[in-house]
Amino acid sequence: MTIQRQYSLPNCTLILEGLSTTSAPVDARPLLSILINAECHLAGQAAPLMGGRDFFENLVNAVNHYAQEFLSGVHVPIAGDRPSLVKLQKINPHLHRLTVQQPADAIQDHTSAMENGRRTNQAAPTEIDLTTVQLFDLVEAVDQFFADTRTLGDLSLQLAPASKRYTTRQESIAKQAVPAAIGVSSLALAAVAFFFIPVPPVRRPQPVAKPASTTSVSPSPAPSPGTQPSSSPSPVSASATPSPIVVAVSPTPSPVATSPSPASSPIPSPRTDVNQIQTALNTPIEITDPTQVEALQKQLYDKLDRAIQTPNFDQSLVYRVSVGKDAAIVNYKPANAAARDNAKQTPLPALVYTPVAGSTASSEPTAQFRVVFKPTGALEVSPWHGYLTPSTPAPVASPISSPEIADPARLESLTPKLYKQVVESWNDKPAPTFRQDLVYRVKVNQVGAIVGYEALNRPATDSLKEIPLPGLTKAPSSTQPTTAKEEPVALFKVVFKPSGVLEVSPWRGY
Amino acid sequence: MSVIPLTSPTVSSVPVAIENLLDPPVPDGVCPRRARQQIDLILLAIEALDLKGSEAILSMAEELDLKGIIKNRVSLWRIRSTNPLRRYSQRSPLTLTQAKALVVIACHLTRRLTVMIRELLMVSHQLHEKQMPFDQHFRLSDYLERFRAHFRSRMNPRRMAVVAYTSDDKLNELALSLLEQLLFCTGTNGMQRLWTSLFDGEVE
Repeated sequence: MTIQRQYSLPNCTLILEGLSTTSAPVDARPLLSILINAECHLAGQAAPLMGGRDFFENLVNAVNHYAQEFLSGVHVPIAGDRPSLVKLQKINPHLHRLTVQQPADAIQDHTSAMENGRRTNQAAPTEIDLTTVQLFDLVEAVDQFFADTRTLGDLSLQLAPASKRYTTRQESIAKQAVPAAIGVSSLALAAVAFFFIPVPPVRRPQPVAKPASTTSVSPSPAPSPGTQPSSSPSPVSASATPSPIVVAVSPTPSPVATSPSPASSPIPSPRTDVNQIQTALNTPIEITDPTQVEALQKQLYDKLDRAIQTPNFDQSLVYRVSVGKDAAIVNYKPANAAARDNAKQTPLPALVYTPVAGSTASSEPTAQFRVVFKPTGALEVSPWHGYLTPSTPAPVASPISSPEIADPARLESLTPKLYKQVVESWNDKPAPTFRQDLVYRVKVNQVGAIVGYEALNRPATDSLKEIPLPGLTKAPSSTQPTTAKEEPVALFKVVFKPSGVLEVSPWRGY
Repeated sequence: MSVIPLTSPTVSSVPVAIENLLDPPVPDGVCPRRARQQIDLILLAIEALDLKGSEAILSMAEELDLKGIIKNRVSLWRIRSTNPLRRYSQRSPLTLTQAKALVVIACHLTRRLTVMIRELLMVSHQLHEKQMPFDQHFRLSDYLERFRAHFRSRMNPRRMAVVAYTSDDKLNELALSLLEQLLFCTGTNGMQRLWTSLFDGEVE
């Protein structure tokens, strides 16, 4: 008569079938001493793992062994003269792989397997991945079997701590790895640190009129805002090398290079300097690279030109249009009343790029363009700030060698003088052929004579022949500011329009 | 003059509760570093699971007749502070008897928490498989949060071994692996298994 013993847990049921050798007739729980078949049912597995005594011994041994390894973290290979049929391996801290090789006695059941036994011996083993809870249920089923003294009494729980020799080597490797790990991590830290250090901006050396200003550029004790004092190399290099790069630190209101020391800045009030920094920081980054601006300008023109409709307005509509790097229209603002009222007649509302909710489109660099829709159907696209030549990064702040006339009354009297002399000589010239506004910055001395000018946009450079400025200037014509004059000058913005209209206004406004 | 009263010779012998645990052949008969650390962390995990964990440790000591080894709150603190990671780590050794007492208490306490431990582990596995954060489950996130708080308040942040657990993720991982060890403590032979594992790789 066979005896069956069952050890049940939520994820694992162990069923042992065997015989009792003792012939005690009336025994409530006879001793199972010969194992015939062992079944291990695991949750989620259709077929149980089955085998004879070999399989069961191997299973118990592997489970027992792995349970200790799991608790201590010390891996010890299973000692034995034969490779175990059952193996347990760690896949990750919470997953364990049970591998069961087809037991030899199970193969013998099949006659065909006898013929080519070698091949079936190498049959693919069963692999089952157990979670820790499932593993525990397997361990517990085995432990309950161990605790049952009426079943296979010759198999008992043998627990002993693993010997030192299994861990010494691992420890020494760990110790060896420490210096290397520190080295690698410090390299990584250094890499992270260097990542945050801004690349020092490369600036073109700019001419400086007074050598005194060079000496006044001293390493400012106050660290520049936004940069870390110790890690940033820019202040260090600025103080160490009196190269032209250092000289460039001053008039441009660029947030990177500003050390707000009033000594090094020709702008008289340090407060305005700070304000400029703040506005520069608050406003989104602007695309100023002339070639990029030109490319965007063309793309914008094409885009608008394709979409333009028959005009139904009688005034020019002027817009300030912000364009992203990909020539997408990010934003537009009407620049005159007609533009505001007739916006729907332009293709702008349809073309404006609506950012995906949550994204910040305003932070990406944009180029600003002046877009004019004329009642005639003509379209004009030009950079909002005019054309910037590389030597003048910001027209407002480019160096001025001569003292500037700032008295409003003087400027008011000089404006009509300049207008008169320019418009009179322009009338002598043939009708304008240029199609875009020509913008210049013109220097005028105390008596109203033109002493210099500067083209501020591309057409202005190209169409110099059509305008009278070269002929009117006393100093040799040059797009570079004249530095020889020491007399005070007034600055004016002069715009020649294709329609023949001339605009003259003080550079810094009325 | 003898300290031990002659009338009660059984009191001075090994308490019944710990007699099943055998003395491993460790040098000087004191617990190695990893054992000291592990025992304290397991108790820490129990305290994170059970709101009255620290009270329960003391009352269990009384229940198991281990008051001779763990006399009161202060002596419990002293014994646990043999964990080298502690802020106020004690230089005094952890004797095998003290360690046995703590292991026995810990295993008795975890058996009471078996259902909860199983549930939390199954939930953490499911959340991990679905790649969902652990805070989706109230009790699990509660356990993890309490464990992190206990660990951070009691362990010395200047220790290299503690620095490794600075992030929440690392501490959650430690808390979960301790929870798994607690599960094994609930088993039929859990106490012996835990005890033996503490000396793995420490004996000749």
